[in-house]
Amino acid sequence: MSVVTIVPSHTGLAEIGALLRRLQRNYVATLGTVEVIVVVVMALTTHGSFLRTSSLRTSFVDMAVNLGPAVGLTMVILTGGIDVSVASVVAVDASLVGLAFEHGVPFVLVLLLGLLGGALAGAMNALLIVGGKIPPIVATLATSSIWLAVSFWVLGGNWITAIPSSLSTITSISGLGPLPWSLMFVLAVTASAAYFMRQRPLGRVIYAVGNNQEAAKTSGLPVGRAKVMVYVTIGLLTGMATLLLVGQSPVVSPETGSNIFLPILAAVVVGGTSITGGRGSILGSLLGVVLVELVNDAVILYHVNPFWDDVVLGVIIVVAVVIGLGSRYTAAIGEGKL
Amino acid sequence: MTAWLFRRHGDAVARYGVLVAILVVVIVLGEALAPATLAPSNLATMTTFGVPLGLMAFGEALVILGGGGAIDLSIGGLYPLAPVIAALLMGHHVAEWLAVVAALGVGVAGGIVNGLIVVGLGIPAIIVTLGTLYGYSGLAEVIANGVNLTSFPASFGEIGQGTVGGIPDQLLFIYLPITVVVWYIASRSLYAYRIRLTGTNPVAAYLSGVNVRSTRFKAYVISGLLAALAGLVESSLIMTASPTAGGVFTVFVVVTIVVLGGVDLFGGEGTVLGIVLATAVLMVLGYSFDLANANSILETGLTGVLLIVAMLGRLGLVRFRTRLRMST
Repeated sequence: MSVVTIVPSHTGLAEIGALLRRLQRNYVATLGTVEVIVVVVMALTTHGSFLRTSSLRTSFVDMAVNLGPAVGLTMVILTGGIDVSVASVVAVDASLVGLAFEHGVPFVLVLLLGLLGGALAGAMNALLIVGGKIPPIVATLATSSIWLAVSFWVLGGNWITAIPSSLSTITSISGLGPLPWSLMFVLAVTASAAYFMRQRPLGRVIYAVGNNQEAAKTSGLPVGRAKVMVYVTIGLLTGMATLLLVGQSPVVSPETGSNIFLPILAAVVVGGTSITGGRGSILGSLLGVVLVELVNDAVILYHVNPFWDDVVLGVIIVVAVVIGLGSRYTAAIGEGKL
Repeated sequence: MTAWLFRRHGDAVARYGVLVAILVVVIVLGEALAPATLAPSNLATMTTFGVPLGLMAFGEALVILGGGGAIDLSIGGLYPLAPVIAALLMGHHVAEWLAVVAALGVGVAGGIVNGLIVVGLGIPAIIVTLGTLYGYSGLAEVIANGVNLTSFPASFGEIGQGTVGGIPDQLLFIYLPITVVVWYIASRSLYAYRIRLTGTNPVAAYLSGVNVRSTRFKAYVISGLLAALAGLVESSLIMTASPTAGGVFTVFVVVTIVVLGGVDLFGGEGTVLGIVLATAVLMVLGYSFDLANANSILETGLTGVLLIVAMLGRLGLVRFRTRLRMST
């Protein structure tokens, strides 16, 4: 990151514009810097309650839940697609996991079942989008409604509480100090995804599809394979998040996962991934997940009326995008991509 | 028979064929589920299920018609915010009409904010309206302090509950006039020409002298106004302003109606008749499930299935029609 120097010779819009452009060029670095400052301020002004082990661990577990789907959603959006079915996939997968536990299926098998359930839901989206040529937002909207109904039908309005405490131990309690193993595992997954996206050929194809699908297809790139891969991946990672969520609050109800989608989309967007595809990074989304969690923590720690939570997050989304990406998007306007 | 239908009325069949088929299936299904669904007295009540959704679908369709990946998610926030404001004002003994106008004004203001950021700064609508969805519904929660407001005078219920000769006021005096107005705006006016051209090809529109930005901006304002109106109609029916009403789920339903109604998500293409028919599909579905005491979430699942059937069916019809043309 280049050193930003502001010489206040005369105040004017030109300087502000120049500063903004520099911030935009280094968006991810800027976001990271802002977050470090926010963390320091929060640590200094909350009389230690922000850094208390228990509150840190709660935040880390929250982040572990959101990070997986956020990584998957980043890959989906990079292809120029979208997946709005995340919350419903969590709901149906959680019912599956809960039922399996209730019927005494072996622990490891349930974990695999949870991952497989998510991946299958992702595969169904892929089938509709790649095979059926249905626009991603419509296809995932449809499967979202279907999974929600299925989970409700399976649960019959009841709660499943037969979740073994060993799941909670693995996902939320054990770890290194305040750092739960679950977050470390998800961070490792995130790092592999980042490596895959930057270094592996299929990762580059994902970017190429988002930049110009027709060109990618004409160049003989495996467009279909890349698309199937991103939707199955987000399904798999949503399956992982489901297991973490069920471990975090060991009960499966029709409400499980219902609030998960918007914070995840917000994290990806604030992390600098272009909604029209082709531009963005896994690292940015990681920082986005951190920012969403910081907002939640700040609202609690400063005893703000919790209803302000949404307002603050909304303002942050818009401001982050205006500052970080405003100028980049002006070029993409009118391309008609969703 | 099919071939003849296609040759004579190809456009209409391709556009409405699947939708009409789905509507018939849904009506038969509804009648089977709850045999009283089609009784005249129930038909009138049924429409109150569809009016708020139908109003929001008109606004959403106009925004999407403008193209460029435009979508308005914030209606899920204005839908609760407007009645919360109205309830607050009426609770402070502000004149009823003034409170309603103020609440509609909030919808317009919300639409203006969306439009200014999306069109003025050129930021994708899905992100901006996601942010304002959070913002508006958060404001509704803050203002109502998280509880349902019921400080409406009895006369406020007239809009949502009143009937004339058995027909609900909200259908007669709100939905039908607005359908005509929206039909004029979206299909017959100069604005219709502008927004359809903008949605189909913004560059061509710009070169033909259409003010692309102002055209798109207006769609957001109308969408905000209609979302506020929908919220007021619903709260007048139940005499309650709930800050947690709406939300992303309502947006999903509205977008489902718009897509089911044949509006092209990439802009430029769509008809008011299609949206009215799609609203009817969801309305019949919702009402008959409600009558049969079935869980409304099952209706949600069926909606998802219908959405897939409609998309695949429409694609199939288009392909069939192309093959028919090639063979003749």
